[in-house]
Amino acid sequence: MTKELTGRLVFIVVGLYVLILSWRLPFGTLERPGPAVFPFVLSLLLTLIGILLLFEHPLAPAAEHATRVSEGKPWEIVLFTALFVLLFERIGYLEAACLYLFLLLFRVCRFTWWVASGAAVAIALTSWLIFGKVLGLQLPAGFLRL
Amino acid sequence: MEIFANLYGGFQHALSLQNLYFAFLGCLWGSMVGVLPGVGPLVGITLLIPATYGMNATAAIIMLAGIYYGAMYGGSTTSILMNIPGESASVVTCLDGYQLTRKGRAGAALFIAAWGSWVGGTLSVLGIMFLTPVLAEFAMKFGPAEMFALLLLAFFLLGSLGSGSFLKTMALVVLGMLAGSVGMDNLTGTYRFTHGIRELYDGINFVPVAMGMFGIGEILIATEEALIRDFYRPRFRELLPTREEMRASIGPVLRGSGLGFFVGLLPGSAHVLSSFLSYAVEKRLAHRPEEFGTGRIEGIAGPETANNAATGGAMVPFLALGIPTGPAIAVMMIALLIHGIRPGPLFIAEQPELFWTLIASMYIGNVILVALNLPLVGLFVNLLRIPFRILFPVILLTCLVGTYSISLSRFDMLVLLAAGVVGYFFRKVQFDLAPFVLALIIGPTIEESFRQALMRSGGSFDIFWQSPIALSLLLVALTALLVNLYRGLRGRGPRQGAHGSGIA
Repeated sequence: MTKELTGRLVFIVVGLYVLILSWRLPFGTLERPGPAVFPFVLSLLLTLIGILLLFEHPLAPAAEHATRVSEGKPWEIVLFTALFVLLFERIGYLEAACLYLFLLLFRVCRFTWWVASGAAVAIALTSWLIFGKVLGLQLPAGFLRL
Repeated sequence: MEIFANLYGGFQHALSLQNLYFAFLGCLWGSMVGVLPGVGPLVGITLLIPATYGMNATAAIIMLAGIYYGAMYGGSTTSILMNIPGESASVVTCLDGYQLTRKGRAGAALFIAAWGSWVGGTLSVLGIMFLTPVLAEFAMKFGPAEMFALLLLAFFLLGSLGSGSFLKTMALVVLGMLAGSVGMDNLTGTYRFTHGIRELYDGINFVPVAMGMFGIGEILIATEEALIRDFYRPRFRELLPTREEMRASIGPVLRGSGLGFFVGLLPGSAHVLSSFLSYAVEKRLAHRPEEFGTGRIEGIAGPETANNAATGGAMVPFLALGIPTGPAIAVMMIALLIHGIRPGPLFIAEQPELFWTLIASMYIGNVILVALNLPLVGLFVNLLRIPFRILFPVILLTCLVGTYSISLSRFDMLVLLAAGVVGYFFRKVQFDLAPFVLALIIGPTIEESFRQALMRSGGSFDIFWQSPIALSLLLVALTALLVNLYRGLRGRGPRQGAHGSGIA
């Protein structure tokens, strides 16, 4: 199944799902339309558009203007970012940022481990100074209580 | 005469040291984010929202507006020097800008882009000055029926101006409106589609969605590609164009100003559309159109003027009607709401000093930007020496921290990430993201207007056709819909270009 087709099917699936959910909400009356009306109409419309899109010709693919290096990198980035989000309130911003940046620089960007560690600490510290001290943002303190 | 008296008062406030400082800061930051590929005005504005908490509202809006139009100036630098658009509206500048660089005329190209941007930006501020008060006064006559009709028209226009097919764009608009309905229904207090998740009771936060789709999504796409950086660094004395080049730029700059301003009034990817339209117009008017793409000055002057003029055009419906016509403006609106300011028909009446100070600061900001982007072009170019594989982790971290700082919510960071994945997926299948993001923020208003109109009329739809304004807007909306359906059925949708943007 092509990505293009998947994209179009997503609309049908989402449309039907919301249609079922909105059916359970109150429709109200014409004098006082309820919370179900708009989502119901929109989800019907979305399903219909999704079906029409199945018959539409796909656009010409965008021309490649750079060499495709890897299709795995985005998913590594997503995984590491999710890990950062889950950890950073528990272990602290600075610690989580160091770990996150190290993983990105070492695994995704392919720096050597010592370059990745040094850069991760430097960037994390700088960001902590700028966000936490200069801009005054509230960042979670961790083991180091910073 | 009252307008000029108000403008004079605006300049008095805008020229205060504090406001000048924030205008400069906004322009500098905007130029920097415009130069860096993958970091557009949307991300640039969002990152500085927390920094505005301690500021007064005037300084905040001056700085954020400076970022917005500053990014348009900065975006042309990388297009001309490296053939990489700094932001989406500068895509078309790559076509002739980089060719001029290869001919050793990079300085002239940068100068023409800057001067065109200055003219476009300045003339568009004139447009804001005269048009916004008129539109705001007209909008005072708007009730829920008129607002519903106007927003419906905006959505159908969004569909026709998106860079994909009309159906695809409408699918995203509808999906965005559905996403906007998540949370508590304001009229009845019923929770919709929250699945018991407490963080969704107030709805999906727009800022992480916008930043995720445009920022994170862009980075995920970029990391799949090897970006080869090869760029030219012009010396200051090389910046001046020849007399012929200046003469050749006058017509495109004037045409671009008008075109860009009026396109900017419309919702959607106005900056991208205005620059492409300007390029198409200049090519059509040229004596030797086959030379476009080989280094024609007109190919830079028109589009760069148009995309800057579009920033002014976009501010008109935002300030006068409270309708954001683009994602970056929508984020600016969020920032203003945090400061207790609501753009809309009452904005000028309730906050005249703020409005006129903003107008004056935009005039000043355009001057600052010319001063920044020409002599300091070397400084901005140095930013590009930073390898992308160092830059993107920094951008990711900054997006995460920026999102967290808005509401100290880890859930919003997950929304950011999810939106990034969705944005990545949509980009892979060539969907334009702007309609989704705009629909997310405007959707609840259109629903509320519709339901309030029916409540007011006791359930009768006559309220929509008995109002001349609503009826006119609905007829235009219907026309727009039929035209687009017809074009869609005839297969005349736009095709994707080399950088994933639509060229009609």
